[in-house]
Amino acid sequence: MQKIYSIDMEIAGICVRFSGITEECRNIMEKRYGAFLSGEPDYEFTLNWTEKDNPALSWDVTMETREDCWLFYRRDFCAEWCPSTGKGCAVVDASEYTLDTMLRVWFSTILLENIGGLIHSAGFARNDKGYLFIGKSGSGKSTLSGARGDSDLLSDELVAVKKVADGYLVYGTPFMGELGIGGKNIGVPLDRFFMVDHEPPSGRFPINQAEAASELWGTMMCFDRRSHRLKSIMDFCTEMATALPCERFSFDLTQNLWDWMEQ
Amino acid sequence: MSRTIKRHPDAAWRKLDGQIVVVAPENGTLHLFNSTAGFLWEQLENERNEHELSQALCSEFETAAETARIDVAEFISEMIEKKVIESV
Repeated sequence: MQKIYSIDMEIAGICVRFSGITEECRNIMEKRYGAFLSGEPDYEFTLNWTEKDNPALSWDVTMETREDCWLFYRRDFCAEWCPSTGKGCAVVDASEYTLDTMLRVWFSTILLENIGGLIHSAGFARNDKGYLFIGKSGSGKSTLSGARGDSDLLSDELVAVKKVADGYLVYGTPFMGELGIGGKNIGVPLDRFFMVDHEPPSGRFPINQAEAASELWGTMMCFDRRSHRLKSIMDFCTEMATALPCERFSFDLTQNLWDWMEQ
Repeated sequence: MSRTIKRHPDAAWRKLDGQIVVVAPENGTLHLFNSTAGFLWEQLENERNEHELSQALCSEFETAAETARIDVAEFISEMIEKKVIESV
């Protein structure tokens, strides 16, 4: 009989216990998410790690709400989550990429419930301050992350941000992009953010708050399209764009990133 | 005939740096409005018909009546298509 395990995983102060996992799944999680496997669980998720491929479904993630539960699914996984009980279950194709996608979707949704979100960005921590370089796929986040110099990598793909009483905290995540390295499991105050643009000319350029909020909106990971959720994300984006300095950033990697930033 | 228009009740919007930002509730698309569209959006705090909107635009921007009428008609068509306003 196959032995079953449980693992606790914490990102941005949100800890979930994954139970019902196989040894293969546990090994993958330990390898991929090792720095984030700790904490006191607030939530519980039962994983059924199996063969899962429903060709009738697309590869795009769909999210629906049914009574007080969320359903989110695509061709290779389906999951149900009930915020009121803090419990959920998922059937996941036995692939680390499928598991990673399911975790991204779940954490992005639960973060939205906690006045935060996963933002498509490269994030770095330096001298106890956080810096976000926000951009969609292909904008150069991983390239920039490779040139991060003497700073800690929070992620080259998806960084967690939460609003707190006196500002914003930015957290490392294990969600990795082309760099192939997970972030450090730390949280620091977010000092400022940049909209990454790798088109010349290189430099830092002013951006107005409406543009910043608009671009932030386009990079927040969100599958919940209910109107109250859209309003809360809009509040998050507009408040963050108003509260923190933001510039457009077109980079020149012939210089040290931080020297250049301080110019 | 002059249509009466109102904002979609679930359209989320904010004003930042004087610029209106609106999210269409049905598809989650965010729209950044220019000054004319932003002005018309603010006029829609209450239901308005096309004629009232055209008059308000004329007064605010000192444009010719026919130009304002065309601008309002274009705004209404575009915003109905984007599902951020609706006919009453």
